[in-house]
Amino acid sequence: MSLIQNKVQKNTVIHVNFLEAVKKQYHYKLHAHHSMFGTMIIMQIIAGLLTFSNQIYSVNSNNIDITVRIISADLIIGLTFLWIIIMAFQLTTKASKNKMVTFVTSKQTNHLANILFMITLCFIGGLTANLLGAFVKMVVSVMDQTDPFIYFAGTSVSEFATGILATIAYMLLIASFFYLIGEIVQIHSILIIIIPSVLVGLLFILGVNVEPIIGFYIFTKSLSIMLVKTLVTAFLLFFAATLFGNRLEVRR
Amino acid sequence: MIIHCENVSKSYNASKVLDRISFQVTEQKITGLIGRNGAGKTTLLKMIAGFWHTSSGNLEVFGNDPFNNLTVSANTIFVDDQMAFPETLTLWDLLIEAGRFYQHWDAGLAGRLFEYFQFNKKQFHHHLSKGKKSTFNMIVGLASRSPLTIFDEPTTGMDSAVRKDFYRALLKDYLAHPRSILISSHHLNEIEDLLEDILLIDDGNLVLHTSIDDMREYAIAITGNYSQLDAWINGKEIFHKEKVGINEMYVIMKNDVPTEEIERYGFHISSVSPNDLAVYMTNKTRGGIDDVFDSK
Amino acid sequence: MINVMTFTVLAIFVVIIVIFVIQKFSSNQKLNLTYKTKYKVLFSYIVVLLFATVIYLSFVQPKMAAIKIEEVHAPILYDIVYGEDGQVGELPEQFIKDEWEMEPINHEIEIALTSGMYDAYFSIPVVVEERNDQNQNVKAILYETPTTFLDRDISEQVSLAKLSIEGNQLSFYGEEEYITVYFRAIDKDMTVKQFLASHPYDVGNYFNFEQGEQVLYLSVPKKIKIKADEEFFDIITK
Repeated sequence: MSLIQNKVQKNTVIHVNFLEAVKKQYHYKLHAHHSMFGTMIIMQIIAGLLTFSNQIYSVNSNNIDITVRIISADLIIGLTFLWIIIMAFQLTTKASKNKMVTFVTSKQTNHLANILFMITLCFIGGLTANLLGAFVKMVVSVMDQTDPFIYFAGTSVSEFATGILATIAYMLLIASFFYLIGEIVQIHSILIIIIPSVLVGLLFILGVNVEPIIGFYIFTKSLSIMLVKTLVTAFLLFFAATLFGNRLEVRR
Repeated sequence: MIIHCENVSKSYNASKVLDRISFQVTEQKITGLIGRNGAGKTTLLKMIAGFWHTSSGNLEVFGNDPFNNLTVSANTIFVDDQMAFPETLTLWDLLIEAGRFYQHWDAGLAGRLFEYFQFNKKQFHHHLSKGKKSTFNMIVGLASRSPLTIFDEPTTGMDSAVRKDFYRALLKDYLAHPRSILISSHHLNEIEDLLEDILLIDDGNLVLHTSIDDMREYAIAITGNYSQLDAWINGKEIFHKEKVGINEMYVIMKNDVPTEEIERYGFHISSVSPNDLAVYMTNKTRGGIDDVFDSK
Repeated sequence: MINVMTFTVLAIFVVIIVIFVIQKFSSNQKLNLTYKTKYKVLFSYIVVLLFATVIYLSFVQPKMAAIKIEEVHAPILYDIVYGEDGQVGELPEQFIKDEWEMEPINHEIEIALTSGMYDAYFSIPVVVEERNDQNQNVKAILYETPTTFLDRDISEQVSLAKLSIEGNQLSFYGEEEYITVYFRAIDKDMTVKQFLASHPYDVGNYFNFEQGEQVLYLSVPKKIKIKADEEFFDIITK
């Protein structure tokens, strides 16, 4: 005796468009990871406060001690870089993937949604880091203090825009690199030990020089060339990351 | 064809969890997956949901290999007490997010169930008690109206009133909006009235796949004189036998002997509930708990 | 600035404590922040910063840049005094700090370093030029070049020895033995500097500190005796 004599409505199989699925996942991540922006704001504000007392000492002669308080957005930008590293890692963890699996996902849509989300993080992080830098500079300029200015290097509007673009580009590069590392590490827990050891070994024991690699990006004098280098590398690294972890079971 | 499972095995760390399971689910039905703890129910369900690989065999859900398959993910929802939700979204936000993913999502139903079970919109999932979590997860599972809805021990932590409500809600919604439902439990007696089909699993093996009605008729219980009954059951398929009273035996056997023959011997026949049958068909070689306490 | 340092450290503590309190409060009181409020916070954060940046770039920065901090280049008096060929060269007129006329007592004048001066490396060349006239007075000219830091004149903050003349005594003295100076500087960010040619005064690159020099010039009549501690005063005859 079947419970249903007449099947009233057949629940037909739903077909999902890949890009639509990515879009839905992207919005989901945007909502679920709102705390990432919270940590960004906090880290940036702390960096901003630290910038206020960023001191570089110059002890010249034996009785003269000159201290220059140099204000720039470097510390804020640096901490924002650290922030994106942590966020990129967080997106590769099993916990993050398990949360996606509750709803509609595939490994590929998850990767793509993660990448779109990281691009969003980089844009907002890069923008706010530079804006906060200008804010701090403004406060220091306007604050009435007993120590005079020894040097004032202003930033023109075009330079400011350049700074924002460069910051975003670097963040994309860094995010893609650490996302890839995060994905590789997920494959086996032993890799968490092996990969850092290999990197440290390369650096110290074999004396592999990282400077040319970093210099490839840092020493580029032209903004457009630097953007091309950074963005192409980021694209390749992101693509490489999508190749990993696709056979991993989701152990809930 | 909704689920096609052909000689599917699963080994994990050199232990075989499932051994050549074969079955098919071709229609929209409520199928119960029954078995003892560790029988392999969760493993089977997670493979169907596409979370885990099969070690061997052929598993197809909606015509696809379910692992890493977007179509299967879109048409399936897996509900258990470990459903992972972001800690940063409130319960109400989670319902809204879920609604975005599932085409057949019924926001009205979700809202009414939410209110009925007295949830607070602004609460967080990880702050809920075990029972409340299961209840919320159940709401998500029901409201999604996924073509394949899987419930793995969904009533963990629920008190009996909530459990009754859950079964009733499940049945009502299923009748109004049919879909394929797999529900695993080791409390067959509780969900017996809910199920249409049953898959009985024991130690990684599929022991029985039949309708609930057929299962009610599958076996019979016979009581009678010990030595007489003992002689008569020789060669027949016995699921359970035990000594009762001073000189009587209680036997559960497959129902393939005509009733008249049994009554001619003066034995007493009674029916066997699916729940009891399930208990005796699984791990039937083990002795009873009494053996632990009985001295030699 | 110890004040700023303390302020910063305290501010960071306050921020951390505030975050802590919010966490505790929200989990206890079920004051839950939905993602919508968080995004409102983010949005206002960006808006405030944008606003501040516009003000900074349009108003504050041009005003600051207009304040010209002049670059100073001074000749090295040491090279003039201890010339290549042993001859004392022409001391630059524009760096005359002060001029005095003094009367020797018993054809004697005394130069001394009194108190308050860091004396470990103190050394002033005294250029003495004999005159052939009848005037018995001694004319003293103190030449002083500015102390520069990154080619900016910081003589105001870093003062050299002061000279006071009474009778036949020339007394060099100082006000502080140990001088501590603080400056502010605003620099471009590294992401901007990457694309610019390296600026010579790039604060991060080097700290160019040149201490000012002092030279005492004495125009003396004949047969004058100058009493001075050799350790501090190097008397050179022109």
